[in-house]
Amino acid sequence: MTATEPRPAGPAPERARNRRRWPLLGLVVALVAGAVTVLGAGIGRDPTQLPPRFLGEPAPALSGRTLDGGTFTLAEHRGTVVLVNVWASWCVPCRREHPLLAEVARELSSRGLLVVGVNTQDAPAAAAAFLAAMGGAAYPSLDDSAGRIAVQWGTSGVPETFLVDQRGTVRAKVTGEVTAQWISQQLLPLLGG
Amino acid sequence: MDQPTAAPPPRRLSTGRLGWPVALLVFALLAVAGVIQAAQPAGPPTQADQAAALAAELRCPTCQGLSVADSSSPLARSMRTVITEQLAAGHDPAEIRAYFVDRYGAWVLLEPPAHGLGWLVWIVPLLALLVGVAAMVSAITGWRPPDALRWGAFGIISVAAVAVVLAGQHAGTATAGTGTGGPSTAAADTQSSPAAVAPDAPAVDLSALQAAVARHPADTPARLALAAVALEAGRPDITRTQAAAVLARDPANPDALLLRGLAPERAGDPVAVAALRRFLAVAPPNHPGRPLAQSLTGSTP
Repeated sequence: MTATEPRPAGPAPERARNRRRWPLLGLVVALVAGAVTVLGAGIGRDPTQLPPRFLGEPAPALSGRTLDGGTFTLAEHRGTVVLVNVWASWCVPCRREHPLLAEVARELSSRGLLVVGVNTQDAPAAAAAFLAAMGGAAYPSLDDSAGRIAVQWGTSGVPETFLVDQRGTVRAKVTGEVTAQWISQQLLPLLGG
Repeated sequence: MDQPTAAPPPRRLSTGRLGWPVALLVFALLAVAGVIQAAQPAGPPTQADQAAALAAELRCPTCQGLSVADSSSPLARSMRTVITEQLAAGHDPAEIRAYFVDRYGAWVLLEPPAHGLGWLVWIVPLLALLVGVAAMVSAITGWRPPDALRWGAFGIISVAAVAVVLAGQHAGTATAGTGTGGPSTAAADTQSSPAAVAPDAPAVDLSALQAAVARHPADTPARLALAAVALEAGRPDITRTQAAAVLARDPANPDALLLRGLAPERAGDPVAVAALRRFLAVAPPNHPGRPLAQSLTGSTP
């Protein structure tokens, strides 16, 4: 703006006021942009899915008494691919996925796979009835009625399944039902032969 | 900045205008301080107090927006057990908090840590409050903060806003990263069927199984599944009906015998005892129901 231009009455205070408003406007824009970005990042997230833990890391400790009266210690099975399935008899998806896990345990044990269940937050009688209805236990399950193992493994619900490789590293994790597709994509490549 | 000489003189701050608000503010602060003082527990906290406080700080992983203290889900119960056991073992609250963060990530803390990116969550609302108070004072009294202060505040808040934007993008990529490639594709695959939310009581889908049995009356596994679910759901009458239906077709079905034995009509129901005995006679030696049946019939392996 030059001095030769015609001005309306009282230009100086108006210009000063306008100048004063710039920081305010910038501030509002910055805050709105910040809020939009944060909310935009959060809104597409499934709140039932936790950020995955232990992927590519050593598996947490896993040992204890099994439902059939034996014991199991994960650390004794280095060199074996271990599928750890956290389940409970009151969990409906567990009921749906169990036949697949039993089949996997039977078919792939000759190729060096070990399936182990963690029966969590459950009553032993209910667990026995569950396994009985499934035609008997195809693999051992640890008794975790107090839920310590479920917390130790950072589970957010049942079922959850962890794939532990020969070196004891967690290679994959499924929250929810295991699918045949997951077995062929994640588990089979780890097995030799 | 040049102040316009033609403008009317700014309104003065008068104690008459501000006296009452200031007095009210002082009273409000005193009241808040009194409440905080009264809320402090007398004496050192007991282990139970510490456990309850820790549980209230942790987010229940199964629930939506509940603390471990407030949730009655099995997992929250287990987490409370772990907290109590670790306190009893002599771990201090910071170690136990670190244990849960190690298992579940910083997500498990209901209050974000006041350092790193979490610091922003604490400082931004405070800044917004200060700006709001300044705007209110300005609107009521006509007081204009000096330009230096205004630009300073603008600069600080801009920096904070940019940091929030960057933090949001960081969080966004971190979340997106879990769904792409590598072993974590599994997490994306199963999003359509999220893990079962642990119920307070065994809540099972009886009606779906009943419908399946009605559609396929000859489907023995479906009948057995329904019988087992009904037993857990406290409906032994359904268990008896389904076990009887299976046994009518296959009198030596060990699972049906076991389920019938586990669902006595009354204490000492002879049919149930007979079913358990028959189960022990016909079931394979590695059947997981054997120990239970043996304990119920009082027989030795």
